[in-house]
Amino acid sequence: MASDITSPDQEDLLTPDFLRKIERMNLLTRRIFPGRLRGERRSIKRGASVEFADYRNYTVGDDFRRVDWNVYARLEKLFLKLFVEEEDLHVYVLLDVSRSMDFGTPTKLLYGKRIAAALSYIALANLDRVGLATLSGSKASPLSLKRGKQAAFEIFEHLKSVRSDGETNLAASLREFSLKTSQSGPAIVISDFFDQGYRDGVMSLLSRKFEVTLIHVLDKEEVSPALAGDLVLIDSETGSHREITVTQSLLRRYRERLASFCNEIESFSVKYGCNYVRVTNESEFEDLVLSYLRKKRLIA
Amino acid sequence: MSFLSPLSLIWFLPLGAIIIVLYLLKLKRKEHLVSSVMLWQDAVADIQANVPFQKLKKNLLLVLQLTALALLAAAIARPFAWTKGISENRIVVVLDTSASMQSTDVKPSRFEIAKRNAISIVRKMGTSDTMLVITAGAKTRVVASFTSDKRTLINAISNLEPTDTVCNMRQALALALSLVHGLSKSPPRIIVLSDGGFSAIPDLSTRKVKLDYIRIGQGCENVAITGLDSRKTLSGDQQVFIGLHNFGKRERVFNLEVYLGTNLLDIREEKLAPGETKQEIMGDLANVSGRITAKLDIADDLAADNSGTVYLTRRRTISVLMVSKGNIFLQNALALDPRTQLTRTDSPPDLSKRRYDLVVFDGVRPPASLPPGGYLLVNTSVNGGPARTGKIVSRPTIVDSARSHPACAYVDFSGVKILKAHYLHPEPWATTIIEGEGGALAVAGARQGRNFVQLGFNLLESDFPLHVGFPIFLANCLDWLTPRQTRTTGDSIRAGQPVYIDIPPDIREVTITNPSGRKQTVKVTQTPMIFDDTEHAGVYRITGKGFEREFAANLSTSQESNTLPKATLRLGHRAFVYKGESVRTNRELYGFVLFAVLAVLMFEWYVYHGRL
Repeated sequence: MASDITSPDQEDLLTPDFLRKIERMNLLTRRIFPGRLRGERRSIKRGASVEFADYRNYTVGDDFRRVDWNVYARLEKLFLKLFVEEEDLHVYVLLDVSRSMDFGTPTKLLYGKRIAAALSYIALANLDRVGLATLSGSKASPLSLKRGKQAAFEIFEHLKSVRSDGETNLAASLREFSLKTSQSGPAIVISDFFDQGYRDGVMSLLSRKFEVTLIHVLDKEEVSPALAGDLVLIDSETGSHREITVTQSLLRRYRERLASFCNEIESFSVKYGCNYVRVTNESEFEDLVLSYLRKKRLIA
Repeated sequence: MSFLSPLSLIWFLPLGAIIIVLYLLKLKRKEHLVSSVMLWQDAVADIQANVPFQKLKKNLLLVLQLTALALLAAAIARPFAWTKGISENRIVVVLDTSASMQSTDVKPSRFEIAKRNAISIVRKMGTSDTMLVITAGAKTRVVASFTSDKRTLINAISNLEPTDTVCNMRQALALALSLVHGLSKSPPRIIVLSDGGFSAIPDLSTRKVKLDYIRIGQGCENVAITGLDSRKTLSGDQQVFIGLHNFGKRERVFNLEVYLGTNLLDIREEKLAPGETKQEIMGDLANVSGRITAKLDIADDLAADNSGTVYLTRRRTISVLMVSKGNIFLQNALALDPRTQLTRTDSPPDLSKRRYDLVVFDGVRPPASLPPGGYLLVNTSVNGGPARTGKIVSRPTIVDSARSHPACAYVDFSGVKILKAHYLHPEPWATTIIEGEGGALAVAGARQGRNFVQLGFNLLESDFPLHVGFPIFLANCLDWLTPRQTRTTGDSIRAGQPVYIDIPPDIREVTITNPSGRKQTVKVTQTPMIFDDTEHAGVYRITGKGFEREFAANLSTSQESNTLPKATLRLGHRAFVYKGESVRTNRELYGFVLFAVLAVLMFEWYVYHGRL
């Protein structure tokens, strides 16, 4: 499977074998979100499922078919039997497609695309609605909500057509997304988070009742940079320069800074009830989905 | 510590400036695209937050590089440190091999101590140093030319032996100075290992050459034979003179033994106060002939000057028969020579009964048959003689004489007047020694064991007997007509001097045995033969085909016998004083400095790669 994701021009982001493996998986959510159509997720509404929920007094106009006649026989009062409503879930996959994601082998963007594709397929297979949005600069470009497994390939095609562009501005793009989206649900943000504004963006999502999961994708070169000598580092997004003389001390400080940066995100996530998953592009993708994300209670 | 080439330190200035300028120039960095510089900014900002350390670190590289450059410049300037016993680039060791170095006041002997010192100096030589070893005896020898091969030098020094000669230190130092002059940039060094037993050298200058004088020896307890000679007195006696001197600081009592050959001739008890000189003269040796050896029975520092050898030769007597009717001039002149035992007769004797060394026939015709011997024929001739008598001439004029002939040596015939003479017709084997206007007036020749001198005139009819040259002529004739027997006794010389040896013409090769028994075969190319390998005192024996001679080499010099080591070596107007220290020479340290450069560069590399 690892070889399948080494090329950015991969025909299929996910192979059929892998799709079969993840077909029976579910996305886990901590909260219950209201849906629009019947689905397989418990809703806060009372409906017509087979799962008993509660009783209430009969009022004029209620459907006689839902009166519990056994209770009437014992108590001579009319009670209606209520059942749990099962609706669909709105799952939002937000993929950072800024230029900083277009790094590494495979690129973080491709790795993120495959995560997005896998999570989208899992959601669609569970009759959930999937809203895919790409984040570039201050814009969020959402794809219309999709439902049904047949829509997966439409999402895949869309992901394949996505190219890296623009700077990372998670604060603006996530705010825009949260404002555009009326129906809340799980929001999975896939990004390298090289933008200090991610806090504001995530807070915007949280304020709109989204259940936020942050998937932090890093390149192995970012984790352990193999640099030496006197260099001018050029930022791929901003083009800004930074002169460094690579020393063991500097590399040590960089690693410390990276660890601190990741810990900040993780602490933020814990503090505000978000899931946080950190992956590198050198991890086996199958292991990531089938094992690592399950351990992190993102899917089951 | 100092520098041999201090001007090279100037290199530090331009090169150091270049390094500083390179630091001032903006470093051209390689561009590297990264996803984001956000974390790098933070990391660098962390470092920059600790700016003093970072500055220090940057400057540390500069300081290290400048330090390495400074050390490199110092290495080029050839630093050296004064150390004991370590040599310089070019060093000459002058080792005194004279007799006084055999003194045993330091054990085992001064010469062995000097050799050990020299070997010690060799062992402490630097790798780039070269050394030359010269011995200073009567003759100067280069025993090891300039080399850095320590094994060769040690072998050459180890094989050295002391001699019984005087020390010609001037010649050795002149040679050393000429060999080191102008050969190296750094001043060469001459190390003299000696007891100072030589005279001052006022006409030599060391110029830029460094000279170290290492005095060998501590004191002097020596009694010596400082003079040994023999002479013949006018009375015909022979005497042996022996000079003794006590160079020590305490009174010495000892026996002086005099041997004739191996037989003890005399023994005398001597008592010498410190510094006292004494002469002993032994007489009554008129009839003694042979080798006289004087020995001191004493244990002192130097044994080589405790014996000496001279030769005595018994006076030869020449038996002369004068056959003459009467010639008072001739008779007196012959009797004047103390060697002669003169017998006079009027008539020709029977020469077969008694043998004479010389027979003079003065106007008397000799018998027909003459036995081998010397014959002076005056105004007569003999069959088989050197000349036949010719016509009689009146008042012949002497026009020439053979001055090169032994019989005519130192005799002037130019004023001799002759009343009447016979011209002589010399035989082919005879030589004309006095030439008149019309022919020979005197001839000389030797044949079949008979030596002749024949005069063609009557001495009484000439004024020759009144001339100064007459007794000289007769003495010459005595010598030439009665040749000496082959001598077996010889001369005594000072050790180290050449000896002249008369070798018979038919001997082409002789064997010379020196006092230690070492034999040496020498080809005879000339006579007298010159032999100069006489550096050991004692008796040298020369043997050839039917030929045997000997001579003796004696030390007999106060210069060597006075073994008190001198603290000062005077050379030119300078005095080099022995201070009791080892040789202080410079040891170059550039190797250590280069190691330091390497260490600094490694440290700089370590710092550069951020391991610090």
